[in-house]
Amino acid sequence: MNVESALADKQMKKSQRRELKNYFRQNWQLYILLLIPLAFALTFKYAPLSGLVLAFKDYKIARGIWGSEWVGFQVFQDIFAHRDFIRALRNTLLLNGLDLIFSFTAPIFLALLLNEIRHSMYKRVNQSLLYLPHFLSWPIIGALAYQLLGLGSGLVNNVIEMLGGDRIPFLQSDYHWLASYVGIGVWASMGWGTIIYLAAISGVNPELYEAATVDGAGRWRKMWNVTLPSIRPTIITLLILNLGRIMGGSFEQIFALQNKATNEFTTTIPVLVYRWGIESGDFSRATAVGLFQSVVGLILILIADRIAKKLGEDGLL
Amino acid sequence: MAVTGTIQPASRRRFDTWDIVIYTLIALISLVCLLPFVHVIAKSLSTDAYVIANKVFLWPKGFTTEAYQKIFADASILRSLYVSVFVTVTFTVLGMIVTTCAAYPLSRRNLKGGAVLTFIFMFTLYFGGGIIPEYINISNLGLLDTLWALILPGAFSAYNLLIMRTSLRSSIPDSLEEAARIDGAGHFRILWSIVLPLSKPIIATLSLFYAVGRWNAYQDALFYIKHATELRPLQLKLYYLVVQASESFQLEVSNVNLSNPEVLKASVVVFATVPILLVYPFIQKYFVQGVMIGAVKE
Amino acid sequence: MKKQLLSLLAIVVLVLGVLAGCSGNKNSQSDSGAATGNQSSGENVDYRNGFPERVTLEIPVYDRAFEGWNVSDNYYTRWIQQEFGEKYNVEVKFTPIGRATEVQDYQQLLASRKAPDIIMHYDMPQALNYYSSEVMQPLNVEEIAQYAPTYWNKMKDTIERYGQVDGQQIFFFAERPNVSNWVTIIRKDWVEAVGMKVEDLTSLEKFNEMLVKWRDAGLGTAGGSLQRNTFNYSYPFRDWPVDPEQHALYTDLSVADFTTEATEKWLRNLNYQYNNKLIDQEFYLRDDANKVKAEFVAGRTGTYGEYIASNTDIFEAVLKNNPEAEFAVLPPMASVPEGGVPQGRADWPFGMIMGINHESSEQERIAVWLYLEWMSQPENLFALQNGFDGMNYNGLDESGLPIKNADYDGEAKLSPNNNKDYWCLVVESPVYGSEEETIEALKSFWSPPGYEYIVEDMLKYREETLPYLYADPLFTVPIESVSKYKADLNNLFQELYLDIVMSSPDQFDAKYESAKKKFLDAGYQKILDEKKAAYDAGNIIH
Repeated sequence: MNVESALADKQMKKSQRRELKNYFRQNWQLYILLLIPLAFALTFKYAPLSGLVLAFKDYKIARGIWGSEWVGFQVFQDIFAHRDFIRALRNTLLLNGLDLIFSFTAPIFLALLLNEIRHSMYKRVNQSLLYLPHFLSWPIIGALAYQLLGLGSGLVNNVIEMLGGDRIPFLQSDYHWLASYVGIGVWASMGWGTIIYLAAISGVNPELYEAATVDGAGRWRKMWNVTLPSIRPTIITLLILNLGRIMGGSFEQIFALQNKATNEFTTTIPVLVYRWGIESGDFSRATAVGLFQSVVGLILILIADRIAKKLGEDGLL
Repeated sequence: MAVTGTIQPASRRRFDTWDIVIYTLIALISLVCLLPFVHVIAKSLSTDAYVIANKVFLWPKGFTTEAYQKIFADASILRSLYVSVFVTVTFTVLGMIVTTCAAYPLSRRNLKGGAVLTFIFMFTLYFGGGIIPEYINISNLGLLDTLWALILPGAFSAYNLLIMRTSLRSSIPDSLEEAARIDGAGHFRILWSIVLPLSKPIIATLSLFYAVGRWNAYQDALFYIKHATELRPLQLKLYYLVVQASESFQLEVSNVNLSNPEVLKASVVVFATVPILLVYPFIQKYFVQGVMIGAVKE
Repeated sequence: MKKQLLSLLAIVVLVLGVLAGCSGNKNSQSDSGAATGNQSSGENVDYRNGFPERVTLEIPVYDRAFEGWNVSDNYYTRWIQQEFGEKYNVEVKFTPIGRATEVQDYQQLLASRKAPDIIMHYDMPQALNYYSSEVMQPLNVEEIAQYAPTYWNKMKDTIERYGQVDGQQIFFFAERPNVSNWVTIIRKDWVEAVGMKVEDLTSLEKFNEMLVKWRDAGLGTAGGSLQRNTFNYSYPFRDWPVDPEQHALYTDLSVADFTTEATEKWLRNLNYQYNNKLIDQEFYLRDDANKVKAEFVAGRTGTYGEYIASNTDIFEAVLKNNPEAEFAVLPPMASVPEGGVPQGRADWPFGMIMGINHESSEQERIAVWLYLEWMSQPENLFALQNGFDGMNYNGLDESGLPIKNADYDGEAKLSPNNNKDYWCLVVESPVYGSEEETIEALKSFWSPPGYEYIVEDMLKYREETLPYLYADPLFTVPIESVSKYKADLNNLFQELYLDIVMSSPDQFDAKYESAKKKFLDAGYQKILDEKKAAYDAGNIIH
C-alpha cells in the first residue's frame, strides 16, 4: 500500500464518518422513537427468554430455574424418541399446511368479493356478520359443531336422513374429521381476516381503476391487475409470518373438535405441549418442544424472506 | 370521492349477473356466520332443562330472561365488564403508540440498523420463555394482581408492528418524506402531521385488532389476577363459568356445581360479545379511501 | 447475509445480558428463601397463647368462581380473623386456588415464591408429586401434638400411618367420615315398561338382558361415558378375595390396569354392549359430566350417575323433557357379573392431604397448627359449617341439627357449597355427633324435595356393599414413573380401549393382545417394575 492510496483511504474514512454524522443529525429522532418499543420488548419479551434454559435442565420447582440440574440435550432426545412425536410432527405439518392453503387464502377471496359490492349498507351489514365467528371461543364452537354435525343426533344428519340420505360422520371418521376441521377453521377465521386486506385495498389510488377502465378492462381484469397487486405486500408479509408458525398452531381448536375415537390426526405438537406442560407439569419438556417450534419457525421465516427478496418483494427484514 | 370502502365509481356500471352471484354468495356466507350466534342467543333465552337436552337450535324454547336478570343483578359480573372496558381502551391506546413509534422508523428504508432492529423485534414473535418464566417476570416487576399486568406486556406486538410497517412503506413513499424534509420538518413533525393523518385505515385496523384481541383473551388474566378478584375481566369470568361445569375427578365428597347452568353460560357469552361488536361500526368510517390523490406525482 | 448474522449476534448479546442479570438476581433470591429447619428454636419458646409479633398466615382456598362470592374477603374470612387471628396475633390471608387449574396455580405460586403456607391436594399421587418437587418440609409430630392437641388426638393414627414418606413425616390430613353420596339413577318407567322390576337387576347379565329389551322396545340405551383420568372401572370384574400383590401393582386411580384379566372382562362386556347397541353409541363423545347429563335429560339414555345434592336439577330437567319419567336407584349388583361381589373403591380415612410449604418459617408453621386446632373446636366448626343461630338457622331440633332458615339472605350467608373450602382442612363433610346422627343430617343435605327415597335406597345399598370396599394401595415412597408416564398412558389407553370396544367381536382377541403390548412398552411396564420393587422392599402401607 503506497502513500497515495493510504491517503485516499483516509479521505474515504473521513468522508464516511462525516456522512454518518450527517445521517444521525438528520435522523436522531427516529432512534428516539424506537426507544419506547425497544423498552417494552426488552422488559416483557426478552426478560423471560432466560427461561429457555429450562429446555436443558431437569426442572424442579423448589430449586428454581437456576438451581435445577443441567442435563444438556437429554430432554430433546426424550422428545424425539417419544412414540407420539413423529405422528404429532406429521399431523402438525398436515393441519397447518391445509390451514395455509385454505384458511390463509379464503379471506383474500372474500375481501376481493366484498370489494365488488357497491351498496355500502349491504357491505357494512355483511361485514359485521362475517366477523361474528371470531368472537366465539373454541369450546363453544366445538360444542356447537357436535350438536350440528354429530353422527347420532346432530341436526345436519337428522336433516340428511329426513331427505333420504345416509348419515355422515363429519367428525367421527378420520378423513371426514380432517375436512371438517379445515372447513370449520376457514369459517372461524375468514371473516375477520378480510379486515386487513380491505384496509389495504382502501388505500388504492382510484386513478388506477379509471386508467384500467379506459384500457377496456372488465371486473376480473381490474381485480387481477389493480386490486391484487395493491395488497400483494400485505399478503407476502402475512404469508411469511404464518410460515413461521408452521410448527405451532392452535391447541384450542383441536381440543374443541377432537374426540378420542377419531384420533389419527388429532395429536399435534401443541397438543403434546399441553399434555406435557399443563397436564403433567413437565416444564422442561414443554419448554424444549417450544424451543424446537421456535427454531424451526425462525429458519423457515429466514428462508421465505430470502425467497421473497429474490422475487423482488420487500420481505420482512 | 370518499365513499366508505367503495373504490369503483358507482354510476358507470350496470348491475350484471356476476353482481347477483357475488351478492348472493356473500349473503350465504354471512348467514353461516350469523346462525351459530343466533343459536347462542336462543340458548340464552331458553329454559335450562331444554338447553341441557340439546333441544334448542335457533329459537328459544321455554322463553325466559332469567339468566340475563341474574347477570344484571350480579355486581361482580357488571364490575368485570367495567374492568374489561378500561383495560381494553388503555391497552389499545398504548399499543398503538408503541406500534407506531416502531413502525414509522422501520418503514424508512434507509434507516441504519433497520434490519437488525426488525430482527430483534420479530424474534420475539417466535421465541418465548414459557408460562413459568413469564409469570416470574411479571411477579418480579411487581405487576401481579394489578391491571397493568394485562395492559403492559402485550402492548408491544411484533405482528402488528410488521403489518403497520408494510402499510407505511407503501402509503408514505420516500419521496413524500423528502419533500417534507426539504420544507424543514423533523421526523417528529412528519410523524405527527403527515404520517398519522394518512394512515387512518391502518391505525383503525390495528386498533381494532388490539381491542378485540385484548377483549377476548383471558389466559393471562387467569394466571396474573389471583388475589384481586375484583379485577377479573369479563372473559375470565366467562371462562370460569364454562369450566366450572366440567367434571372434577378428585376425591371430594359432595361436589356442588349447580350454580352455573347452561343457560347462564350462553347469556354470559352474549353479554361478553355484544359490547365489542358495537365498536366496529364506529371504526368503519375510518376505512375511507386514502387522501393521497394529488399528493404525490409518481 | 451479513445483516442477518449481525442481527443474530445482537440477539445473542441481548439474551446473554438478560441471563447474566437474571442469574445475579436469582442467586440472591435463592439465598433469601428462608432456611427452614424443623428443629424448634433453641430457647423453646411457647406460642400457645399467641405470637409476640404479628405473623402472616397464608391459607389456600379453592376458588370455584361462585357468582357473587369473594373467597378471600367475605363475612367468614373476617369472622375467622376476628375469632382466631386477633386472639393469637396472626394475620390470616386466604390465597385463592382455582379449582379447575389447581396444580398449575400451585406451580406458578411456588415458582414465584408466593405459595401459601399449606400445600394441599385431594389425590395422594399428586401430593407425592409435590413432595418430589421438594416443596414440602419435614414435620415434627410432637410440635403438632403440642400446639393442636384436639386435632392431634383425632388424627394421630391417620397422620402417623399415612403421612410418612421416605421415613419422614411429611403430610397431615383432614378427617374423612365414611360417607358417600354417589348414586346411579335408572329410569324406573323404562324398566317396568319391558316387564321387569328394578329389584330383578341382580347381575350384569340380567342388566344386559334388560338393555336388549329396552333396545327392542325402542326406549333407549344405557348411559355411557368416556373413561378418563379416574380408573376404577375394573372393580366389579375382579376376583374375590383380592390378592395383595396384585392389588398393590395394578390398582391405581390415575393409571388404568389395562393388562389385567379384570380389564379384559370389562372390555368384552363393553364390546358386547356397544356392538349390540345396548349402550350410548357415541359414549366416547361424553367426556364431561354435562354431556352425560344431556343424554339422560333428553331421554336417550336410561341410566345416569352423579353426586346427589338437595339442589340437583336432574329430576326436574328430565321431567320437563319426559313427563312420564320415574326414577329409582340402580342396585350395585347390576354392574357385577354373575358370581361376583360388588367390589368398589373405599375412600381413605382422610380427605384433604396437606403439607407445609418448604419456605414457611417456624412461626408460620406453628400458626398453621394453631389454626387447625382452633377450627377443630366443635363450636367453631359448627359455625363455619352451619352459620349462626337466628340468622342461617333458627334453633336446633331434637337430634341437635340446625333448623335451616332457607330464605336467609343476609351477610352471613354461607357459600354455595356451605363454606366447604374453608373447613375442608379439618374434615371432609359435616359431622354431627355420632355416625348415625351425621348420616341423618346429611340426608337432608342430599335429598331433593320429594326424592328422599332415592337417598334412602342409596344408603341401603351402600350398607350392603361396605364389606367389599377397599382402599387404594399406598406406597411410602413416591413412584416416579407414574407421574412421568401418566399423561401419555392415559391418552394411549383411550385410543386403545375405544378401538377395541368399537370393533367387531372376532377382532377382539388380536386387538387386545397387541394393545397390551403397546401399553406395556409405552411405560406401563416401567411402572409395574417400580411398584414391584417398592412392594418387595416393604415400602407399602397395609
